[in-house]
Amino acid sequence: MRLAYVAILTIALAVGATSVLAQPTGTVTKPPRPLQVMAPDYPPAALAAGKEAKVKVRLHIDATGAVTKVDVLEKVGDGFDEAAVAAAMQYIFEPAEIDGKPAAIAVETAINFTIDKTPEPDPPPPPKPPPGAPPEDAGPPNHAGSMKLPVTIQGEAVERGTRRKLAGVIVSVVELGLDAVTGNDGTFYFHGIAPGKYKLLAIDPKFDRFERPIELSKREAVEVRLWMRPRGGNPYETVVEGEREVLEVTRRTLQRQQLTSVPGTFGDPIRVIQTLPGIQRAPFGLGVLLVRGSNPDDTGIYVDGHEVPSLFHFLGGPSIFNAEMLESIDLYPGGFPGRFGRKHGGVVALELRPTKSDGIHGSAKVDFLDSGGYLRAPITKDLSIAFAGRRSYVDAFLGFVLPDPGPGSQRIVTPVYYDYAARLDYNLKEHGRLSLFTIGSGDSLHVLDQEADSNTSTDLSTAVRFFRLIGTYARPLGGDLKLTLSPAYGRDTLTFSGAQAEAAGPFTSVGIVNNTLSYRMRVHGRASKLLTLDTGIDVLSRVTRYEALVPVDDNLIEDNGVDIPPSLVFRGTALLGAGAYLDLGIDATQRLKLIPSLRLDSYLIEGQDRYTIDPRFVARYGYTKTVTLKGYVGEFSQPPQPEAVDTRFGNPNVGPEKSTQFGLGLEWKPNRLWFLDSEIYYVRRRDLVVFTNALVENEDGTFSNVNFLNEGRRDSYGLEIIIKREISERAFGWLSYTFSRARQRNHPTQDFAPTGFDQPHVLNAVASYKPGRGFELGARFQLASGRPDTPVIGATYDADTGNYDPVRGPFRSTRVPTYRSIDIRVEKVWLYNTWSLGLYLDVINVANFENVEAIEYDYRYRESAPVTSFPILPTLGLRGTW
Amino acid sequence: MRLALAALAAAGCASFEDPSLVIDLRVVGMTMTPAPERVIDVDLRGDQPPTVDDVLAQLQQQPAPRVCASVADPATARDLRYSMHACLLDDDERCDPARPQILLADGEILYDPEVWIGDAEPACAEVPVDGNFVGLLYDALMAAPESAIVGVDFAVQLRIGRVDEHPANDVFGTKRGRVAARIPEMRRPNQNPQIVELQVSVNDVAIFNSSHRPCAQPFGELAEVRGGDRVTLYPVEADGTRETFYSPTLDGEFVEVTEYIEYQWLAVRGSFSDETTGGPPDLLGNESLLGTDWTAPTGLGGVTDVPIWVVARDARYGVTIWETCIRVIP
Repeated sequence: MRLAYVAILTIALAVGATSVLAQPTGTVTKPPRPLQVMAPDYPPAALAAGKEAKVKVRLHIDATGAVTKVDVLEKVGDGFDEAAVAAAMQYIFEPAEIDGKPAAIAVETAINFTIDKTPEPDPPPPPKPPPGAPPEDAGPPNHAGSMKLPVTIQGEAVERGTRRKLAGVIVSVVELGLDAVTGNDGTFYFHGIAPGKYKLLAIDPKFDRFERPIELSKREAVEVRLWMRPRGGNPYETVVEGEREVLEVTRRTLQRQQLTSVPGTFGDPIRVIQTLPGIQRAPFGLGVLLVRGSNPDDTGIYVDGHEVPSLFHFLGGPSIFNAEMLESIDLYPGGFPGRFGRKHGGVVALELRPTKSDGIHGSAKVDFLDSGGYLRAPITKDLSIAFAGRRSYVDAFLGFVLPDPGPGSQRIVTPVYYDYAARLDYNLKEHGRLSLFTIGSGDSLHVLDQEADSNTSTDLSTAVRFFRLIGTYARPLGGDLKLTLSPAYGRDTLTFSGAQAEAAGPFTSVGIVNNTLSYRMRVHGRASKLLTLDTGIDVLSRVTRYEALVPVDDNLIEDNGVDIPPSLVFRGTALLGAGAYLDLGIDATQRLKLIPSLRLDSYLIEGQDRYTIDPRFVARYGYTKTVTLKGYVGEFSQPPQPEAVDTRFGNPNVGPEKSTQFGLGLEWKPNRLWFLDSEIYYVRRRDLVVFTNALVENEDGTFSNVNFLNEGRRDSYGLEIIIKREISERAFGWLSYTFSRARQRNHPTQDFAPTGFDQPHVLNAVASYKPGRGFELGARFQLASGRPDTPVIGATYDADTGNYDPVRGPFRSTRVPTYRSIDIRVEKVWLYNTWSLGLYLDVINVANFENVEAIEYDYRYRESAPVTSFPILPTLGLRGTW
Repeated sequence: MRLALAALAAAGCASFEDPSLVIDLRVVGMTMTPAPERVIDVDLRGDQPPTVDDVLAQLQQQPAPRVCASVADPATARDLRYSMHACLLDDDERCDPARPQILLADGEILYDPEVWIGDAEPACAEVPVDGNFVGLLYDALMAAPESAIVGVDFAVQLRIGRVDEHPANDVFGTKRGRVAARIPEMRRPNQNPQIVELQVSVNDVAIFNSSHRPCAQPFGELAEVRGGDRVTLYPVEADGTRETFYSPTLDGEFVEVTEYIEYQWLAVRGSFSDETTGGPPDLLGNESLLGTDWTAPTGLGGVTDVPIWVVARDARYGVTIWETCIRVIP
C-alpha cells in the first residue's frame, strides 16, 4: 500500500450553487453555464502544511462568456486567494441571457481546496468477471443507453457548410437525460430508446445550440444528421491550434479567421502580417517585408523550413500561397530560434497543412482581377491530394485604370500573374507521414509606351518565376520526439529587357537564374519532463547564373565619359552552405524556461571557406499566472548576396554579414480573450556588404574595382506593443504600435543616417465584428511616419551631358508626410448545408487620403510634385466553399 | 497588383515644364576650346611623380583652355552678373569649396544675354595655365590616384544671376576638362564636334541650309515658316567629327572606341518630336537618327523669330553649340 496526499479541488460552480447577482435592468432568463473550468494550482506551501480552504469569489462574465474580473469576497490567505483568481480567470461560460439576449453578468461562487488524506491504494489487479456474469453494460462515449439493447437512434454531427465530421459534440435526448459524446467520426448512438416523441439537443461551445425533434415508432431505428452552424458565421475561417512548444521569445501567430477577414488585405492571409508590430509599412502597398529596420533581403521566408524568394506577386499583388494550403503563419521579428539561419533580419515561417482523406472539399474565389481555386480529394483512405491555382486577368481591365496616353499615343501594359500548388499526402500511420509539395509562381509585366509626337518609345519586359518541390517524411521517434526529413529543389528566374519599340533587339537585358538544392533533418519534441529539444541540420546548395546585356563596358570606370555598344556578359556564382543547430527548452522551474541555442554554419562561396557561430539565449519567466517576462540575446549571420561575391563584378573576399540582437519583453494575458505583448529591442548589424566606388591597387600596380566591402553598419532599436482581442463569437481585433529607429552608415568614416525604410511610428488598429445573419464588418486604420527623404536645394547644369544634377541637402534629413489610411470590409456569407457562399466588398483608403510616397522633380529640380499612393479603391469579390 | 495599379493611376500625373523649351534664364550650353581632353607626355603613375614644372611646361606648349557659355533668357532682357571659376567638383557637381579654385572671370552683362559669354565680353573666360592650375590638377590626382591612368578632370563653373535677385536664385553650369598622360601611347587629344550646317525642311520640303545664325545677329539668311508647320532639322557633321580613340582601362590595357555624337535640341517655343537625337548605335550597329521635327508654335500675336539651339556632344567632353533662327508667321 502506498500513501499519498492528493489534492482534491472541489469547485461549486453548478448553476444552482451560484448566486446570480441582480442586474441593473432586465430579467435573467438564462443563467451562465460553465463550459470550461480550470483546476487551480494548489499552493505548494499550503499543501505541504496540510491546509485547506474555501475561497468565495465573484465572477464578472461578459456577454461572450469570458471572465473579465474575479473578486475575492473573503480573503483566506496562504496563496489560496491568488490561486483561485488565476484559475477562475480561465473559466469559460455559456453566456447568461437577460431578456433573452446574451449579456454580461456577475455570479458568486466558491472554490474549495481540500486534501484527500486517504492513502492511495495500490492499483487493484484487473477484475476477473465471475463466470456467467453479464457483459459490461456501458459502451464507448458515443454510445448511450444499455449496450445490450439495440440502437434505436443513431447519427452524426456535421459542420454546416463543410460537411466536416464533428467530434466531441454532446448529443442529448432531453426527455430521458441521456447523453452521448460524438466520436472522431462524428457519430453517436442511443440504445434502447422507447417509442415516442423526443428532442435531440446537440451542444458544442464552438457551434450554435442545435435542437431537433424526432419521433420514434415501434421497432423503428432513426438515423439523423445534425448540421451544426459555427458560431459567428463562416466555418472555414476558424482554426484552433494546439499548444506548441515555445522555443523562441517572440512569435506572432494569427489564426486563419484573422488572416482572411482583415480589411484592406482582400482576404489575403499573408498580407495580414504586415499589420503586426515590428513590420514597417511598405510603400505603394508592395509586398516586401521590412522587419525592424532591415532590408527586405535580410528577412527569410520559409515554407516548411525551406527558403522561398517571395511571399507576394510583384507590384503589390496577392500572396503566392493559397490560404487553404497553410497550417500556420509565424512571424519572428527578432530573436528567432537556431532552426532558422542564414538571415539576420526576421523570419516568416509558413507551415503547410496536410491534406485529409475526409471527402472532396474545395473553394473558389472570383474578383475583378483574378480567379483562383482549391480542391482537396482522397485517393485512398490514406492517400490524399490537393491542388490550388490562380490566374490574373488584370491586363484586360487595365485600360480603364491607367491614365489616357493621349491621342495617337499608345500605352500597353500587360501584367500577368499566376500561381499553382499541389500536395500529395500519404498517411503511414504509426510509421509517420509522407508528403510531396510543389508550388510555382510567375509574374510578367510588359510595358510599351509610345508617344504620338515622338519616335521614341519604350518596350520593357520583366518576368519573375519561381518553383519549389519539397518532400517531407515525418515520423514519431518514441516519446514525444518527432523526426522530419525534407529535401527540396528550387529554381528562381528573373528576366528583364528594355528596348526601343521599333528596335530589332534590346539595348539592355538581365537574366538571373538561381538553382537551389536543400535538405533538412529535424528532430524535435519534448525529450523529458523538463527538456524540449529541437535539433537538426540543413544543407543548401545555390548556383546563381547571370546573363546580362550591359550597355557600358565594365572595364571602363564610371566617369570617364565613354559609352560603347552593349555586350553580353555571362557570369555565375556558387554557394554551398551546411548548418547545424540545437535549440533546447529547459524548464528550470515551473516558472522559468531557459532556451539556449547554438547554430553553426559553414559556407563555400566561390571556392572560399567561411563559417559562423551563432549562440543565442532566450529566457521566459512566468512572473504570475498572467504575466510572463522574456528576454533574449543572440548572434545572427547571413551570407552575402550572390552578386556581391562575383569574381568580376563583385568581391569574392567579402564575408557574411552579422548582427547581435537584444530584446526584453512582457506578455500579459489577463483572460482568454485579451493579450498584450510588448518588447523593446536593439539590433546591431555589422559587416554589412555595401557597394563602394573605391579602387584598390593591385600588386602589379594596376587598379581594380572591388565594388563591395564588409564596411556597413546598421543600428536599430525600438518598442513594439500589440494589444489583441482573440477571436470570440462576434469580434476580434488588435492594436499594434511600433516605435523604431534604424540608422546606417556604409563606411566607418561616414555619419549614421536613417535607412531608406526608417519609420519611427507605425500604428495599426484592426477590428472585426459579426452582427449576425452571416455579416461581418471590419475596419483597419493605419498610421505610419513618412519615409526619409533627401531634400533637393538646387541644381547644376552639366554641360557635358545636357542634364541637371541635383544639389541635395543633408542626406535623408526630411520625411515625406505621414501616411494615413482607413480601410473597411463588409462580407456576407450564406451558409448552406454542404457549401457556403461569401460576397465581400473591400475598400482601401475609404477616406481617400492623399498619401505621399515620394517626391518627383522637374528636369532642373525647380518644381516638385508628390508621388501619391493609391486613392480610394473598392474591390468586390465572391468566394464559394464546399 | 491592384494597389500598384491604383498607384499607377494616381502617380505620374504631375505636369512639369518641357525641358526642350527655354522659358527663362538658362544655360544653353558650355564649350571649351581647344577640346577638353589634352594629353601630356609625362607618366603620372610613377613613384616619383613629375614635377610641377614638368607638367606646366607640357601644358604651356598647348593653347590655354577657353570656356564659353551660351546663356538665354527669353522672358526678359535684364542685367545679369556672372562669375566663372576653374575648380574641382564635389558630389553636387559644383565647385568644391574645400579645394582650390581659380577665379577666371566675373562681371555684369548689361544687355540681352542671348549671346555667348566670353565672345562678347572683353574678360574672356580663359583658364590660365600656371602653377595654380597645375596645383589644382595635383589636388585632383592625390584624391583619386586612378586618374593617373584615365585622366585628371577639372571643371569650369559658371554662376549667373540677376543683379537685383538674391544669389540663392543664381543658375549654375559646369564644363569639364581633362588632362591625361599619354597612356596608351596612341592616345591623342580630342576635337570638339563640328557641325557644317543645319538642313531645314518644312513639311518634308527642303528649303534651307542654315549656318550658325543667332536671332540676335542681324546677318544671314532666315527661314520662314507658318504656325503649326512641321520643320525637320538635320545636323550635317564635318568629316572626322566621329573620332576613333584609345581609352585606357584600369588593368593597364586599352580599348579602341569610335565616338558617337549626341544632339540636344532646344527652342523657346514650339515642340520637338525628339529632344535628343544621335547617341550610340543600337544592338545591331544601326546608327541612331540625328534629325528631329520641330512643330512651329501657333497662336502667336505677330511675326516671331524663334531661336533654336542644337548642342552636339561627343564621348570625351567635346561640345559644340549651334544656333539658328526661324521666323514664324502666324
